[in-house]
Amino acid sequence: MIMERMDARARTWVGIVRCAEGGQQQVRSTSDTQTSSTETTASNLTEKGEKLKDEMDALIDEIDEVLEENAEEFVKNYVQRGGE
Amino acid sequence: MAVPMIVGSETEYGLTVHNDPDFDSIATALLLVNSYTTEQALKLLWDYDQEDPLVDARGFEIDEEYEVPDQQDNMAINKVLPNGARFYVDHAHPEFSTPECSNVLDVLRYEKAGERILNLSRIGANQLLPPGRTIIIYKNNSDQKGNSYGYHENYLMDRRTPFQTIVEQLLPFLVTRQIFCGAGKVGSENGTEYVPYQISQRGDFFETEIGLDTMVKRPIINTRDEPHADRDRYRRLHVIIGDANMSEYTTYLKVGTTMIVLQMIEDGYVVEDLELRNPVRALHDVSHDPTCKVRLPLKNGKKMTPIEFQQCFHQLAQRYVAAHSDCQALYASLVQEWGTVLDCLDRDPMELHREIDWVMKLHLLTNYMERRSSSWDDPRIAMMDLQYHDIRPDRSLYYLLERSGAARRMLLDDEIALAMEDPPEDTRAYFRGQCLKKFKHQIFGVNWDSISFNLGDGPIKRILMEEPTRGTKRHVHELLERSATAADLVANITA
Repeated sequence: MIMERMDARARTWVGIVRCAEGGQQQVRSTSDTQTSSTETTASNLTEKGEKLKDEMDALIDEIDEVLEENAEEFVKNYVQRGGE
Repeated sequence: MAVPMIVGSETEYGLTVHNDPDFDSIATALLLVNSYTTEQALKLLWDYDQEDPLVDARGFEIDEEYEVPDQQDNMAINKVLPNGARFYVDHAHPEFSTPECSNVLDVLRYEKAGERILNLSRIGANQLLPPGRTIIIYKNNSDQKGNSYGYHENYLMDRRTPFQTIVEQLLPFLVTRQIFCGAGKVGSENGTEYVPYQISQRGDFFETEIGLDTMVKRPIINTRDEPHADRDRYRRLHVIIGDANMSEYTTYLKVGTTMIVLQMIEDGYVVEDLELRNPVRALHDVSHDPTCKVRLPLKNGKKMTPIEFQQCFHQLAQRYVAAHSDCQALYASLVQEWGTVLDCLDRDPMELHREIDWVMKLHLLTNYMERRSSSWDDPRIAMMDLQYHDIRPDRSLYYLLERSGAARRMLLDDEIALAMEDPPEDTRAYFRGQCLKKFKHQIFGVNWDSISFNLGDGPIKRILMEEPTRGTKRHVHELLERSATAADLVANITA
């Protein structure tokens, strides 16, 4: 239902939904969006794409290191009083 | 010409204590506010009273006498800092108000200083907790369980601008600006349609167009009328719909564009008819569409996307800045950034994954899900939604991006450090801050528009400052230099 509402050109939304379906499919990640808009040779494209992918890999690894353990319980216990 | 724009923000922070089954939010918030470890965090009264006085050209007034209120609770809840800011407990949340600022970079600087002050308080307070427990603070607006807490912006406006005009012309701007201001959120709440991810943290909690309430049935336009200034001249527009932002660039754009739009409204520049048929519905529709291409119905029958709405305001702003050479120098570059951001949003919002909070967060989440074979209902994703806003530099996902050079900055760390200590020099916050530094032991109470001194004998002497643009360094530097004691200061003002 949500996919029908969204335009096929909306790569952002398609990317989101594909992630929901699991990481097996080839997802058009943000690094692709960056490099496709610039004019580079095929090898440069691969090189730059690889570098961005490596940087993101490192970031994701770091996230796993700092993310609160037992996320499910932490999130469940995080309740606030309503504020202004 | 619009009145000089004075701006400030208030941030209610989310608060929890890890490994504390009996977590008491009010007690912890109180502990936090009283743990800011500097000799400068003084025990002062927040002066809740307001009165009307005579005006001095430098921005002062003298009052005759002052009733002594019950002090203990007041002092525990409120801290007024020598940088002119206020750090206090509000509805079980620690809250930080920036001092009055004359420009968007100062607002940004003091907001960031507030994060640091909250973090130092956290470190101090943690030392008093049993081992294994730790206070965690989030600069966000939602607990993912139906409760929201606020981030408020305050803009000084000319009282003569009809409120109805502000409502009509600002509504469509506030409904659509979230495309570059939203902090992003996993899921949806408060009975709105389900989405896996949306642009704003606060949007789902807004239910009416206009109203006084800030805690239930939240209105897009809040009608609170408490100027903390000369109420014949000024209105303080209290904007409650914004998200708290981690990204410096996002805060810069959010506050800066709103400043320009309000000045345009005051000067009668917003001549386009942009009235929405259903603003609350539009607000939710914009937030629930990360492509920013949803078509919103206007009262006049047209339909426009939020990008198109913002492009209208942007074009007006370009003309405004070109026609007003005396307006702030910051506006020209801000308008340029605004235009570039709208172009990016139009092509593909994900291009802004270094600049705009909701995109930065989404960028992290989608890349995480891709690499870890995860999905939107993975608790780690909900945890990341929260931890993005953690104010600890070593645990926050935002600060992780910043450290890695993946977040575009507007400030230097030195500028933020200065803002923790010193007030702005070009608003009445200067006088407040300098008095707190120089005469701390003679100050009895403080408010946004007054300072009261206890000189020892005689009644409390209250100095009123109803003019936010006075009491600046230029106005009072010499006076302060001449006054060795608070008694000197009062005598010099009265003379």
